[in-house]
Amino acid sequence: MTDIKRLHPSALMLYFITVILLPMFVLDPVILAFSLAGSVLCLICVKKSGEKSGIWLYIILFFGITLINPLISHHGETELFFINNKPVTLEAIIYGAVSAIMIVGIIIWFRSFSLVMTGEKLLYLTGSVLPKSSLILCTALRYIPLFKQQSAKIRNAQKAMGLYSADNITDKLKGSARVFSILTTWSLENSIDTADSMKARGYGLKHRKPFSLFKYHVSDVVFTVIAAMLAAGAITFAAVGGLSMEFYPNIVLPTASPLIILCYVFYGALALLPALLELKERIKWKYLTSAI
Amino acid sequence: MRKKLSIALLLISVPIIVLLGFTVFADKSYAYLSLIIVVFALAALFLSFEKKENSARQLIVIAIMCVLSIVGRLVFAVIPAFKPVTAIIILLSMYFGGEAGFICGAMTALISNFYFGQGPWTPYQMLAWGLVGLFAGLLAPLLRRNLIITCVYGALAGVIFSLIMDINTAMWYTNVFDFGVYATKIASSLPFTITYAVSNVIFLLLLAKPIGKKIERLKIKYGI
Repeated sequence: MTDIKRLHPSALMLYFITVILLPMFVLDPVILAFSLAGSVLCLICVKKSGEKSGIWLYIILFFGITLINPLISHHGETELFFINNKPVTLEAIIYGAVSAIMIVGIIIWFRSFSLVMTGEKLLYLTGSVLPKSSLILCTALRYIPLFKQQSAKIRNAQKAMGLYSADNITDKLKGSARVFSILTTWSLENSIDTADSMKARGYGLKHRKPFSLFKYHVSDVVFTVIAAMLAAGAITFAAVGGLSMEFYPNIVLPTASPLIILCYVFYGALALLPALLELKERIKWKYLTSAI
Repeated sequence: MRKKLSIALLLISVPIIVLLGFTVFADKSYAYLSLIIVVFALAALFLSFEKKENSARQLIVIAIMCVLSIVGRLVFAVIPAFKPVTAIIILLSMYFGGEAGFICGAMTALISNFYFGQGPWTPYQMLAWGLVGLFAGLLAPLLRRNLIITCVYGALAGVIFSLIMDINTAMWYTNVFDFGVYATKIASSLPFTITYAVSNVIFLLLLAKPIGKKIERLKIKYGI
């Protein structure tokens, strides 16, 4: 098996959907801890080395959500203190913290998802079901860098014509508006060219299939089967074992029956799958370099 | 087939999900259930767009307008809530119909969030901007005739966009829907709501005439 970035798009999609499904609906501390740990490790694996982790944002989000809940919800038996004659309860704070962990975990999963699922992979997935929307997505993605280049060109041409902006702000704004107007006209006219060229090359003809570089390898099949089995197992055991935590009026932790422990094991393995793959690759690399 | 699929998504799947939410997941998962329903609504609207006959030219023009609004959002990123996105979506709907406006709105949210950060809010933004375009398409003859009505619609669209996004954030705070929290959220985001509405009017006043003229010319010149 290879690392997670090189997997087939549909295998990746399946993995990300299944991994966020259980923490979405079960507020259980162990599941959420696995989800958070898995998402952070996955982000570390897929993130480019120089990229910011944005950890402060997540910490602020965590405390924000934790503190807002007890101010809104006054259920629970253990009253800690009063604000405006309304009780702030321990249960509400814990509920806030648990749901904050869940939300932060999901947001980190989303972040890894958008790093791993590049535009090309997304297009491959949506191309067969939503061909026209995918075409728009693909064209728009290509035109964004083109717009930047073209606006620089227009700006330079304007400067060469002596229309460079003077020091005052109205002149600058007028100049920018002119560049924007030219850019709009150019892009609209240019788009017709693109469309005609597409038509000439046979866009929209019957019996044409989209081209793609993605192939289903053995490793993709293995990954998909493992992920699907782990997810199905975790969800089944959670449903059969009655996994749920109660917060109000008292905190009742889920009892550790064998079924629920199985659910934890399955979900833990699922959430840590990307990190395990990365670890396996690293070990293999070390072994290979030491063999030289 | 696609039409049937989109009807099935809306008429069969959504009630099933709501029922499941009430029975199986009694654990107050409002935020997620509504997220799933929003995704289904988007899927149904996208599928109904796919079923329409569109020429390659129309599709590329829609893509270009998407890029204009995305670049607009990127350029004005420094000023919170002050963006030309809604104005451009409304203008596109006026000349190319509601479906085009919907796609432009949804795609702008999706693609620009590759730069601003994807998250559970993306489907809500897609739906909110998409609906702004869809309704502008319904009112298109009226909007084309009168710039004042267009501006009023733009201001309303800003308020509605803000209200839809507030539903999302209010539910994420507590994972249930609570009118008190929602009201607090609306009150706290009032400056943003006003900025949305004002910026939409400003950009519509600035862009309606020049961009409208360009689109009209394109339609006449190339017969789109």
